[in-house]
Amino acid sequence: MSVVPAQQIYTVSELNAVVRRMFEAEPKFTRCYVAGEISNFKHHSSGHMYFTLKDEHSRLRAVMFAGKNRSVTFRPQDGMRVIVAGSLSVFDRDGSYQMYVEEMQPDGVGALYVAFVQLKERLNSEGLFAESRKRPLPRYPQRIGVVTSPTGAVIRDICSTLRRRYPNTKVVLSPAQVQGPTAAGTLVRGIERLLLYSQTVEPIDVLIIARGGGSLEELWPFNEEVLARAIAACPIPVISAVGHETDFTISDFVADVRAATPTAAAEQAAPTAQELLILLSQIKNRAETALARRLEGARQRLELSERSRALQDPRRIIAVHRQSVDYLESQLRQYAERPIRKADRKFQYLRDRVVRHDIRHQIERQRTVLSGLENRSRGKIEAQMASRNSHFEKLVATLTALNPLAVLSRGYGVIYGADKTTVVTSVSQLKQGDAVHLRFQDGTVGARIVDEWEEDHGRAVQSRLDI
Amino acid sequence: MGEQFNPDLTFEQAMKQLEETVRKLESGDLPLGESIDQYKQAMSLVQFCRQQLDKAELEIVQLIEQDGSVTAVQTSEVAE
Repeated sequence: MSVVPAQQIYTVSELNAVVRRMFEAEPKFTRCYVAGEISNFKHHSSGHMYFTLKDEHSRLRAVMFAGKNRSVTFRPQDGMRVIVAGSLSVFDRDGSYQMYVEEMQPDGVGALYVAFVQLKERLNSEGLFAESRKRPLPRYPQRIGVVTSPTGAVIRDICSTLRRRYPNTKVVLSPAQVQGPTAAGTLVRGIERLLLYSQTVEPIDVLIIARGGGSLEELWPFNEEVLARAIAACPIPVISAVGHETDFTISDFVADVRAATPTAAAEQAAPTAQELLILLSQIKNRAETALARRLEGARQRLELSERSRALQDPRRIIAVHRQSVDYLESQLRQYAERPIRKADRKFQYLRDRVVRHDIRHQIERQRTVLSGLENRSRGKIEAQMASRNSHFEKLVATLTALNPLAVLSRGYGVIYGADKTTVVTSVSQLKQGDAVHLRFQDGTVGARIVDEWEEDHGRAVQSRLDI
Repeated sequence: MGEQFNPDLTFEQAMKQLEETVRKLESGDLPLGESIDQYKQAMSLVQFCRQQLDKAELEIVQLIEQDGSVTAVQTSEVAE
């Protein structure tokens, strides 16, 4: 470089000031309109809005001061397409030009944002974000898988957080790109690599998928469906920590736990050793107290027993023991005898059954039955006969009383005619010389009428018989 | 029973066993001898868990894929 006169050399500030004046002198720049997509939007606590306007090929830095942006009726967000009006100038400190926005209108909705909303709605309707799918994280993870960039602040933050809080674990880093069009594929591969490791080498207890803050475009891989599905299918619980507190990605929705930042993810993945040491002290105290209480109880019982009569009088111990010996002996006897008695009863029973089945015994028994029956029937027959006999005798007596021939025994007789059947009841039936038969009690004799007379006054005709 | 336990226990298993042991001890149902055994076991487990927490130095490995298998290598890049 040749020597240049000193007055021709600008300081940086001077040059930036010159360029700024040129910008401000250009009428086209005092009021111009630009259409673009918002990105890297920051609403500063001062109230000013800082963002980048961009299209496919180029970017423009923009600022909208608090006094101006109060008139904006919508909430600008990354990915939104807007049309802004304002002036251009140079920001001296950075030496970069930027647009000072005075008005801003939405220009449709950014394509990426639309894609994000649509995918979110679709996966949500599939139930991929459902609360019921969320798995609890392990309490004491031995191995924590991390899918992120191997360089950069994210893995450093995670490791330093774990080193500080819970060094009793192992971080298994599965490297992936976290930005750019191929990032989603490498993130999916990162998860698969961890699962392979978990299955073939040693089990991973929880998985963190993480990225630092960035624009919607930069975070976009975490909004891709292929990654969302890989997280949903992951058999190990997943913590998603992408971007800052205010950034939400599809990964966050589908993961089991969403952490605001990578540091927060590490905090949620593991407990703190300090708290665990306190917990261990408490457990130790509990064990000591419990044992002390148990020992105290035992000691009190021992004292009680010492005070009891048994220990004060040794003979009583012997008596007690003797009693228990007696008891045991009787028990023993009972236990020994019981089977024998039982067997004996069984034997008797069986013997009875055998005897009953003995044929001679049966005959004997039947005979007894038979003679019993015989006795009973004989008695019945005799009784019947006796009653019939007496009845018969009564009949005979009656008949005897009615028999006309019975009077013959008292000296009466019956006179039959010559025909021996006609009973002669009147003198008039007879005349001298008639043959008659006289029936006496013990027989009949023939006779002949020798004489005849008639009694006066109704007296019977008397015949003289010649027997 | 007694103060012996598997030294290959994971921290989680040890914590679980510890909590169970203390719960049993607190129930007061155990015979005296067993109470003492359980107490000894609880103390060993507390000791074991403390050692696990104290000795630990965070281990960090990075996975490398080669011919369809995966291996872990120690990495110093992310060390503080």
